[in-house]
Amino acid sequence: MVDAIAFPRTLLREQSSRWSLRGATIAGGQTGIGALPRISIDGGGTWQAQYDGIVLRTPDHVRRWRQYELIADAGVQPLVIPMCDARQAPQLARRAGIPHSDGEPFSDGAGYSQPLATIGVAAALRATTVTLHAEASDVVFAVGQFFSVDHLVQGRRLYGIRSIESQVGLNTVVTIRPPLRQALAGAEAVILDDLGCVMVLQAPDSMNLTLGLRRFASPSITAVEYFYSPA
Amino acid sequence: MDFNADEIAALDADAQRIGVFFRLEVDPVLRLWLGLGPCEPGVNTLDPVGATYLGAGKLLNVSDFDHLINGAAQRVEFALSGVSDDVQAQLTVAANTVRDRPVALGLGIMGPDWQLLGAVRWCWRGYGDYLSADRTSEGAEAVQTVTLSAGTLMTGRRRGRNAYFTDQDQQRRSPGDRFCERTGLYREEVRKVWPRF
Repeated sequence: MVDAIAFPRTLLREQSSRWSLRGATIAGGQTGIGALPRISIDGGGTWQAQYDGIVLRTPDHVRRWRQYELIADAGVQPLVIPMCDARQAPQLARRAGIPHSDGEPFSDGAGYSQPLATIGVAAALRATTVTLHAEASDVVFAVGQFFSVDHLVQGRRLYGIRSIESQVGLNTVVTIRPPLRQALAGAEAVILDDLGCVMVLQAPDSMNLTLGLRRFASPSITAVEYFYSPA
Repeated sequence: MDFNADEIAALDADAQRIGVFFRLEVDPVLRLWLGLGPCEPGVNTLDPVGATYLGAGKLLNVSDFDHLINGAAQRVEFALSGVSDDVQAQLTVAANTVRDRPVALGLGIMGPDWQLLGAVRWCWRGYGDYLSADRTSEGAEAVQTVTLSAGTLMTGRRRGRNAYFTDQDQQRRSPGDRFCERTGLYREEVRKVWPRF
């Protein structure tokens, strides 16, 4: 198994972006009364991320882009493509780090961190209903919101909240898409502030860089979700 | 192939969610499905303790298939990804052993929440014949696929068997039997004359 390498957020200063769940359907054509029978055979869809007009203006930017173009290895190396969705994420107060038992932080002033939310109840592979447990009362889940989970084998995966079924205390039962990529035992961290998904470039030349005036570039990147074989 | 009430309701809807499962009984058994990500469809007639089916483009396509009619059972070809590491590894090992190994194609009906509503129904069973590799060029990228050709018990590469409901075939099967002696009269072009009394 090839470990995925995180794609740097500093390179994703794009003019437009799109994350979409791609599916495969077979349509039978429109019937005389206007119905459009359709069969879906994709099992819930797979993520495709597209970032267009990424702003590269400094030599550092250009070198960094070239570095990750080489790391991507023409689409062979899995990457964790970050989703920049801070505007739609829950707006939370800055958390102070948790100190040691004697009340003192680390020497640099930082403390331990803990997830904002966890998986409340174990969920099976391909489950579409999960229980999210908020670790604090200001962590609120909303429909249309995304979250990531680090799976043991499948790595970081992205899920979208489709509906909220119930909310009892700090536990919220939600339905999600796509279906879970791997079973969850419970207590895994629900990542709200560092969204991402293990992906590979859709085409080998998805990161090709064309420089204007030998300085500037506005490249694009298109990636599709990647799956590891189950252990 | 009895469907339960949930499956019938799902099939009755305008849009259905269907999982297509493929099983090739080599060692170890190659289990693939047309969806994305791994899938554990649970216990069914071929997997008595359940198993994991691999998805995500490892099974590229499944051709149409017919059941045996008039002795003409077609071959079914399954296109598999030619670069997927696990599929490639299994097929490389299995290349010489696919012949006569059981192949099954099944359907699973899924509900609106993408959960299987019942067990996988194996609606076509055949036997592997041979593997062939194909490499095509799509733009800058070469696409490699492996195709498994499979047939049923009735499919052979020799001359056609005596499987037609004609008098000739019936005489070869059971000399003297008259069951099919008038089937020639049931061709479309034959005009049936009303008997004169």
